[in-house]
Amino acid sequence: MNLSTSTLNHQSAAGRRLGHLERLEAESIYILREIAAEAKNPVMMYSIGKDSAVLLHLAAKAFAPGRIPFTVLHIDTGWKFKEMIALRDRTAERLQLDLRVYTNPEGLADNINPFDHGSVYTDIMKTEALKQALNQGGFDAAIGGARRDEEKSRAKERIFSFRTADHRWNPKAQRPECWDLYNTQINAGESIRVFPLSNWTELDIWQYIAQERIEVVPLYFAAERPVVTREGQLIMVDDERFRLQDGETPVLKTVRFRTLGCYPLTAAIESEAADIESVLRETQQSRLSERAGRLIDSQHNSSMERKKMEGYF
Amino acid sequence: MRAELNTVEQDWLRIVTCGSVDDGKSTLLGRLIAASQSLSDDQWHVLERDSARHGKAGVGKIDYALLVDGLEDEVAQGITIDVAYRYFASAKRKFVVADSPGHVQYTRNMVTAASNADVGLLLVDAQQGISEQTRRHLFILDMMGITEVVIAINKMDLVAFSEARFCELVGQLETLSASMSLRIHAQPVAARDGDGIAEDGFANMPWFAGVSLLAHLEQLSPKAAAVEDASLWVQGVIRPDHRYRGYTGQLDGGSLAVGDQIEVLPSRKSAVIESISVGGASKTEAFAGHSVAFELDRELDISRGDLVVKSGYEVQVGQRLRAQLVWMDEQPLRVGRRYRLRLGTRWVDATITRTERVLDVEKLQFEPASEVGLNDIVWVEIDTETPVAFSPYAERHKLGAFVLVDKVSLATVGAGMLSAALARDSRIPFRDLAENRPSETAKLLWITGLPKSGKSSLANALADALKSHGHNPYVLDFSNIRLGLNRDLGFSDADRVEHRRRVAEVAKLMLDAGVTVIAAFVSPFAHERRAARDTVGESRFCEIYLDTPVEICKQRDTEGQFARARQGKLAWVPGVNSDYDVPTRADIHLDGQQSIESLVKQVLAEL
Repeated sequence: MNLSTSTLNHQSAAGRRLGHLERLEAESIYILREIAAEAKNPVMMYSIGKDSAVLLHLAAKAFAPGRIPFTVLHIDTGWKFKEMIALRDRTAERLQLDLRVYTNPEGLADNINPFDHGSVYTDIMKTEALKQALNQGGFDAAIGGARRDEEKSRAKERIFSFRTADHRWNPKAQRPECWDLYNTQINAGESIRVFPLSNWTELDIWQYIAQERIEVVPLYFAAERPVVTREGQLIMVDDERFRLQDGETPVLKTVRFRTLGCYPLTAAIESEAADIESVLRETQQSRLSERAGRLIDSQHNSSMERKKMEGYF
Repeated sequence: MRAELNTVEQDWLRIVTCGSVDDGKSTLLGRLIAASQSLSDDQWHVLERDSARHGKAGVGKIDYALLVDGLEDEVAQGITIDVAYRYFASAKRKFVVADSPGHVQYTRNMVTAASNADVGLLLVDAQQGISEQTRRHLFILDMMGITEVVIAINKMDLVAFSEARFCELVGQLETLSASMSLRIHAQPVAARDGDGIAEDGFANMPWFAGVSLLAHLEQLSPKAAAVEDASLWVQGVIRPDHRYRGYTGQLDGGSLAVGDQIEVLPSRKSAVIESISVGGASKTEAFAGHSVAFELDRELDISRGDLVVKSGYEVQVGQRLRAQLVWMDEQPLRVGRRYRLRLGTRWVDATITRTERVLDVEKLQFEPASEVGLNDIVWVEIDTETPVAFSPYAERHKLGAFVLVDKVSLATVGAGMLSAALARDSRIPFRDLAENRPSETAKLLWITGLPKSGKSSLANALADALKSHGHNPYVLDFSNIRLGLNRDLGFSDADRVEHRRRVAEVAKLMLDAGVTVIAAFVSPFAHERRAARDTVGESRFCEIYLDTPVEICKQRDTEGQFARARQGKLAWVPGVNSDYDVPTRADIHLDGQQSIESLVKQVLAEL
């Protein structure tokens, strides 16, 4: 008994170096606890994707055995995949989330949709909707699942990212962020976006999902799905609202998604990876970055930066 | 397949990059990312497209810098203006790179980037050589406590891949860093064409005996600070019901186990750990880096901002603190203004009561401070509204690092590193009475040099000369310290540190009493001398380097110290079988071959 204790102590003195997933988990939990302690009225954005799934999982761990002390908000454009909505409701039930679903009422009344309105659709149903929901809830901090490795302008984003009263991001006036000493101080009306997954990569996310056996939307795994090909991208026909162009016929292909958003704007990839192990292997060997599947990003290399400055996450 | 999943845990290394605007830093980073094979097809496609559109590598060539330059304006201006984070992985390791800009005016970004890095990657242009910025970056990395710096000597193609030029620069860099705590290692590269980046990049530099830059970064293991005692800043309390009351925080240093006794600061109450959980799962022990929740065996009044340490680890508690501060705001620092100070999870109101000295970035010396503005590095005295628990930053980053926030703009205006609590004597009643105020005029003259370099003789001659000028000097040296106050100390590393600490503290008391002190000790390490400087305060410390060639010291060695050291009979003789950090920034540099009279004259003239 004495011997084993001293062996243990010896190991501790030598210091156990944490692996990268352990370090990422610990850092994210630290950040979530910081925002819970410092914000008056924080909200966690829930997009139902894999990053959101990891974020929720981490939040559950951070406050166990207690409940997640945040309101959880989903901005519903009305055009999400059916399977996403199903998982959302299941998860809210399982984790007893204080879930709020928000859709821009004017956008809904005007039938703003991705087929007729292009980039205006994103502005109204996502960016505007988000601002409305944040104002309505009076939230002073909004937690998101964005990662710095997703896209160039995200690579410069702070973990605690300051937003003006009209939710704008000013990349040139960001607060310096030293050590893990986050500046959480804001004036009334201003807010902070918090990104606990900043230092995670897509591969880390999948490795962690596999390790922790986190439930994700089945669309991430390969299956036969009805798709059409547009400008070289595979778009899934998820419901009858999809507008087929002349000569287009949906065909069944074995596809999966690396990222999930509004179904008419999210491209699938051809893949046979039908379970977590295969997805992990495919991600490790991947030659395509994930946001290539997001049509709204690719019009302009810096379109994400524009959207962020306007208030998009 | 299971086995594969179980081994996904990888080691990782956090790097801060720095270099001047034209050193080719972005290109080097882009090359490293490409060489580690983590570039995807569509990233290649975008890179080719962007290279054709606004690449600077030449027609038909890939501009690797475009992989890392981000915001729109920067692409247009051809420069990087902020801290950007990059992630890439090779087969052996994951890398997190904080890319910090090289402009003079962006010190704050470099400090920001370095604050979360394990190692530094510094670029030097092989043709231009060591620039002012190189010196400045090394200085900042050292100040931030980065212990390992990899220096990429870039654009080797412009100096015909010359080994001689490489060695010349390495020599200059070694001299430059001699007085610093960090270790440097140089790699020759030509990032634009990929030379020296990966193992296949040495066709033009067959003379280089080391591994490639990427391979070096893969195997580098930064020396973790030897912190064995766990500590934790309390983030909050989890209390779902009356049965559970868990305190949360991220563990720094060592480990914490069920049954361990802990101390809470600043209240200094003790308790025993009853349970620990990591990410909601119950454990018997948690390790440095883990985010934990723990319960105690008794009810204590603990809240966010308290510091918890494993019993036995001594931290300081103070209200008047001395710190090095990097000013990050357009508005100049205002002495007497109240700021919000964040140390760990503790927020406390604080006032800067004095700016002691500000770094002259040209000379890399601290000069008396007047106005302190954006990007200035300054020694300050800070008063906090209530006492705070801390350790010096040099000893423990997490317990000594702080940020300052302006109470009106709420901007982060400063990042600082605590060095010591100041003597409480000026806070006691009657603080305004002249006789109780520590003397500001007495100085500590710290003579360093090899054994037998003539330190004691110089010290005594100096004392005589000062007496004749009406001063009241006192000499501290081997005979009255090592044989008296410190006779319980040997020459182990720990004893040497304690020896130096006691000498500095004794000197400080004497200075406060108005006595000029002349200390004559080998004091071979730059960090020891700096610690003494910190103890008595920059303005009262004067380092005198008695530079006597080792051959002459040997001739003077009548006791045979040098000979015995060479034979291995004496374990520790600096200059023979132990290191001596040659001072590069001594306040006074003396040639030990000159006569004592001449040396005394030089010192008096400098004072």
